[in-house]
Amino acid sequence: MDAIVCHDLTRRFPQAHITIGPVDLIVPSGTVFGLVGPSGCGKTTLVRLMAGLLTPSRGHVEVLGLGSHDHRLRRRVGYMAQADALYPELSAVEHLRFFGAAYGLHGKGLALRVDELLSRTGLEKAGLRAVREYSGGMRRRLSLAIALLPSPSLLLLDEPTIGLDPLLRRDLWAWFTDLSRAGTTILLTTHAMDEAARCARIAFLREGSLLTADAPQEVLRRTRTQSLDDAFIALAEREAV
Amino acid sequence: MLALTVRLFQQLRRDPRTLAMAFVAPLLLIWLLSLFVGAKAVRYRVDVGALPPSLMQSLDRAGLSAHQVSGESALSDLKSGRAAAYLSLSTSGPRLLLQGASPQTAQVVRMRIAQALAAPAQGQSLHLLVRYLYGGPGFGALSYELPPVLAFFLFFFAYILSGITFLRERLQGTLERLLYTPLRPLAIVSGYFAAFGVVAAVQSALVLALVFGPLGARYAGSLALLGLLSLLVAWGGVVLGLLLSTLARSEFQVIQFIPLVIVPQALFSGILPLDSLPRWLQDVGAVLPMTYAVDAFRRVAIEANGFSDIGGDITVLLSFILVLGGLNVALLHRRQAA
Repeated sequence: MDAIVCHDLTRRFPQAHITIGPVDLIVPSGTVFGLVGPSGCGKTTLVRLMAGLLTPSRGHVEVLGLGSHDHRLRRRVGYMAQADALYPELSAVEHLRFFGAAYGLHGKGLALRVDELLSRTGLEKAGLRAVREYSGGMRRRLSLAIALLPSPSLLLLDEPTIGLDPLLRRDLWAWFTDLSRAGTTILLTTHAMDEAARCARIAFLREGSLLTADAPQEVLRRTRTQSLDDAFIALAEREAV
Repeated sequence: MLALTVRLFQQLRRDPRTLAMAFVAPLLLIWLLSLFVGAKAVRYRVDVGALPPSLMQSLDRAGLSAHQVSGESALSDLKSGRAAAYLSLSTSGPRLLLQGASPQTAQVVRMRIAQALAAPAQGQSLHLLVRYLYGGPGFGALSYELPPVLAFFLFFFAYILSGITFLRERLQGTLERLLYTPLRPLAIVSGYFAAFGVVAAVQSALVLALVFGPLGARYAGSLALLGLLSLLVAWGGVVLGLLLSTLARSEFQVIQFIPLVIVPQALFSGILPLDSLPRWLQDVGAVLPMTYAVDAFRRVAIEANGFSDIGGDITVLLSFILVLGGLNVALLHRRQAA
């Protein structure tokens, strides 16, 4: 089964005179899928539509076989917004316990999950410190840990590596690969082409329109280019004509 | 510096709410206050026993509407607040029973009655035997004035605290994150309600202890009932704070709501005497939750009313909490699927 199916998915923002879509897109299960494009191209809007945090103006999106607003998805999908939504006064442990309880975890199960995620994100030592003392990278890792709390089948990650140092980005990508191998579908947004190259499949977006969606090697082959940057330019120019 | 000034004007020009707060709100508030200060003299209703016609005329000239009723009806009128006093004549001289829930009214009515009795046509003894149904000389100004003021401050601080906290939840993005968990909006609002309920309970206990302890105010009714009322009033402030911060776009807007939503609660709820205001302005109070809180606080603290006597006030306060809480849940549902 495909993890996400978008059909004619469109969202209008009349006040800003912006339209995102229509987008037809399939995200296969168990892949790392990248929504790739510059700032303002509609990546975040698409992720929010998939997360059910926005309602389409036209078309529909199906997530794990359910409508994106279906409440059952809340336990099966992990969502991480572009901005770190954290409580500055609370520690990482307190965040994970709180959101874990919101996901219905409790007792030993919750304690084990908190320990596991702290260890996976390298936040064990800082786990009891208030988040206001954290660096940007630590906040990002905590945000990701929260999205992973419910052991989701699908992860929606909006710019998960933005502002992180290369070492941390490398570690996170290793983690994404592990999760994907274990069967988790990961849909992430990025504007970095080196990250796009690591995805199993990518979708190029520009000014609210979908340029292409395919495996990175296939995009290079079809555009007869050597890099994804060049492929993006070629597709954008073709679109403009 | 000039560039900064120009920039501030550019920002202000594009922010009509701030402009309204800067220019319209002060004018409106000063006009409203002028209605209290420049008030006309009020005619108070006084129930009377059998009085000679000349005394009835003197009472009328002194600015009192005298109504001849039986002693039983007079007591009922005093309890309901319809009459400000009951004047009767006995063999030992004139006897005055003041309702006493408002010290200002009691003082004015007493003065006018003394003035009517002292009129040359009366030839009555000036020795007026005065008693109070509620309060009285033993109740100082603090005992009269603090309970309603206390109710207002509990409401106000609960509004600020919950409003700012909930707005931060929105602005820092954690509300969206919460709405993406299996938690329902009802659970989110209830969680806030419970947490601020505990804060309000502690705050109420501290304030009541200060008012009726070191500050020396007296109360006639049940302290437990005053505690319950404090909690309800604070919860009223919490739901209003949550609702307006759901609607507000910034912390500043939560503050901007204060002259519109909070100040009228202080002006028209009965903390200040409303008798002298135009009828339509007095009616504004009927739609403000603080009116019912102030009434209940006075009736318990000064008139020693019990739970059943203030059932109407409690029903209104509970309805206010439930309606605003429900509205907030509905708005969060909408936000969950924007």
